[in-house]
Amino acid sequence: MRDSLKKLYQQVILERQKSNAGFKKRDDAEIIIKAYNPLCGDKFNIYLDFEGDKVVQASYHGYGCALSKASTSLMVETIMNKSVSELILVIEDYLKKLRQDHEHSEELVKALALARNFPGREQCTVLSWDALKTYLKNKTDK
Amino acid sequence: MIDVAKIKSQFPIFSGKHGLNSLIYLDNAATTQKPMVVLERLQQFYSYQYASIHRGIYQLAHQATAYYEAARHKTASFLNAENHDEVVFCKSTTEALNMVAQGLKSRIKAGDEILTTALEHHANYLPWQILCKQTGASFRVAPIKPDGTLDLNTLQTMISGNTKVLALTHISNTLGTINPVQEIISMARQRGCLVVLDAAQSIAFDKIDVQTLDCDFLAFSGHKIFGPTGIGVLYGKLGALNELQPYQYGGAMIVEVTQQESTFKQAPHGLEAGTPPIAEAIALGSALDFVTEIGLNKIKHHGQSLSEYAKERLRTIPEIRLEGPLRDTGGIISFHLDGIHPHDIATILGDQGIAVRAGHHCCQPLMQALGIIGTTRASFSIYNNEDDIDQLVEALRTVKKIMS
Repeated sequence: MRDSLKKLYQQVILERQKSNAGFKKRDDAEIIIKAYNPLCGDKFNIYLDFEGDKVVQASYHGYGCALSKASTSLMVETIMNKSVSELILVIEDYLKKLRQDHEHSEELVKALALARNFPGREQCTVLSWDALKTYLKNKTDK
Repeated sequence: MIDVAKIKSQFPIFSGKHGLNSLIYLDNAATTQKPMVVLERLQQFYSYQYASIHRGIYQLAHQATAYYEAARHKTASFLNAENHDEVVFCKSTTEALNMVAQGLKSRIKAGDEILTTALEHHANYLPWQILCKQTGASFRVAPIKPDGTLDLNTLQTMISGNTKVLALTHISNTLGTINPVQEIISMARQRGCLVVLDAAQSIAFDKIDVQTLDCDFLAFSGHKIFGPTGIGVLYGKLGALNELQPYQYGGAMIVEVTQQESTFKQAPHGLEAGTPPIAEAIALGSALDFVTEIGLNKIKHHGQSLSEYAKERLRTIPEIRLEGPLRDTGGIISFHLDGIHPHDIATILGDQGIAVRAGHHCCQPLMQALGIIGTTRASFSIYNNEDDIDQLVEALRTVKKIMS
């Protein structure tokens, strides 16, 4: 087994996906965003409640691989208490960190960013972030 | 018995060059690797024999046409077709199936029914679903049983006097289920509907005899039988082919074109508009020779024994759950491992040099019928042996260790 594989599936990702942090179905959420990857069938609903301009509740539910679950879990945690304008910056920042080397990233992001070294797996880590970005872009463009 | 080592030595990808010395290729349901005879034929044709066909009045073009038409004869004989004009070259199984569906459009109307099955690849599902939307016909899908075999009693009741087409696969690309096509075609014959058989998975697994099968149309791709990509075959009974409206119009397929009216050739040339995949068709001929030389009976026996061995070995891991029929499958098996996502499994296997497919395998309706999102699939061919399967099983134990 290559070291890179060990690094990808390290404890920080496996623990996060197993912890089910932020994994909660909420049909009564104010906003439900769908993140779907037709290539592998990964499908999440991202549930958000806003108070004014600020995210006050965020969770996700659905089916995905270890990487997409860990990354989505991180996302719903990260976006809490952020305003829409902050959200856009935060998402851009994370998408950048997930797609290229960043020394100063937190451990989980560094681990997730290794996915880009494996064929077809970068999209697992950016799936939900991209879906939220598209939603916010459409919302602010209106 | 086939000599796996000897066969493997004829495939450069397994030669150990280019860093692929430990490749264990178990994604043969997606595509097969290419033997030297096919690669050499492509190179020889492009290097020394290349010209366009059916038009040039010079020796090189004449000879290229002869090679292309010889490939048609070879394909017809491989399928035991009555007439070589029953073989239409196109780019893939997908194109062949679309050619039939769209070619029938003017003959399908509201009130008609098109019947397919829950086992189909999207390529034998969507062309019919869309045809029904275009024409107002009903799109009907015969169900499967939990073991991934067709529910034949229900299928029989679904073939009605209004059924115009029954489109079904010979072997499921996901589960390896071998449909009793002979029996099903007899049922359809009694009702007088057209039968379209997707032979993408069976073409390199079992001897196909279109006259015994008595299907109206059959489709397969060259790349799944050790041939190049970009070449597909549509077999059709001559009368059925000539009743298809051409799917594409252009050069080569015409008799006469005037400003307002045009007339077209009979099959197969009337269905081959434009410059066809000439080199690919010729190299497909070499691939069919290669397979014939090994012997399809031996190939089938090899594929089935590997499937049985794989199932037996996979059952030694308690967390493995197999999908599909328990016995008598093509060289394809699908499984789950302890709730681990198929893409995580495929990445870890890929890291150990084992190529498998993960996901829905272009069969989302089948996934819905089974109540699952995806599977991990291993599919076997003539260059695989039990050792490959032992390594797969060992690698799956590693997956479990990493992910637990």
